[in-house]
Amino acid sequence: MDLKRLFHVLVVGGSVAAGCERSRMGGLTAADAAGAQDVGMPESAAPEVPGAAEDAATSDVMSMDGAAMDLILMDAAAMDVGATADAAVATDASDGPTGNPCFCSPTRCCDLHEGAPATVQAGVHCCWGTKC
Amino acid sequence: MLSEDGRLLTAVWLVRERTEREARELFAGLAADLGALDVDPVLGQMARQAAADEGRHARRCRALVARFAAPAAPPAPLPPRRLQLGPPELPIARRALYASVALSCVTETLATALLLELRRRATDATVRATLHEVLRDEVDHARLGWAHLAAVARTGTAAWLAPHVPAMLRAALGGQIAPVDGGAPDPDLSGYGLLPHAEVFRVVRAVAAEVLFPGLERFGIDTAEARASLPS
Repeated sequence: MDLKRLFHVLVVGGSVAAGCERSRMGGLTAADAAGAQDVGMPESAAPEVPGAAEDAATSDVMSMDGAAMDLILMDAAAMDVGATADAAVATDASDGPTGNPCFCSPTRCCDLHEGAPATVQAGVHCCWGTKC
Repeated sequence: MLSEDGRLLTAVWLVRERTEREARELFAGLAADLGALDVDPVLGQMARQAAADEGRHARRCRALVARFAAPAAPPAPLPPRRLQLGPPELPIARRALYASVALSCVTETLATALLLELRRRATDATVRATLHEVLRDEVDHARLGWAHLAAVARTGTAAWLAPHVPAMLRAALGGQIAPVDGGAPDPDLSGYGLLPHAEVFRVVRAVAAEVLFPGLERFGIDTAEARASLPS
């Protein structure tokens, strides 16, 4: 059992669910990953929807809530939280630091500071053209 | 299965059935509290779903009770205990956060790790299917607590929970937070969903150190007291 990855799935995944209002009811979908407007994202900040090629490239993007968890829980002889969570991270992190979760909703996943630029919350990085 | 092992397994799954029923009530209470608060409605939805899940888990446990008790009639469900999460004087927002952390962050996080280990070892098909179903849901139940805690920590503080975490751990582990020394070794019933006590303790210590405590600290809850409450 890879406990670092379990931390990622439960703690980071849970905290992001709170910020991004998706939770188990849907999570980030492939369409979201491809750049569709996310919950809470202002129109002006929403990235353009990429073309078909990028759609294809991100069609297997899994949220931490749905398909990724199914993978984590699927029957496999060598099943542990590790390898499958890795897969989820790898496919999520389309344009961010390798190994970091890529959850983006500029209005929900950023810390706001009076008089100072907003910063990305711990454990999250902006991706798919979004920024705080 | 009328052997001693069968009786032990019946008793274990009977207790698990009661635990699931109790969790159903606790999550239902949490859902009601969350519904009365100005919080992300997703949290309430997650709690309501968790309550429904726990009811289903209880029925799965009941099926295994009947299976292991056979050919004798299965024992009646254990009467539920009256559980109170946290100090009764807490205002509703703190009561809800206490419940989220106790139920989800602590109990369900530990349960997820234990279920991963249990399912890995399970050889009985029905037991394994039950563990798989429960595990699938417990992941979401754990994340409810981390979601709630993160939401609170974003705009306020959850530091006041620190002195309560040891009690949450004790409750989650049924009062047993140390390995049992001496006596007869546990029978190996891991194929039927029962880990040896020492193995339970090993998993709990590891997940507490690597997942639970770092998670709580991430959101501003000091864990020194909780760490000290787990003997090495």
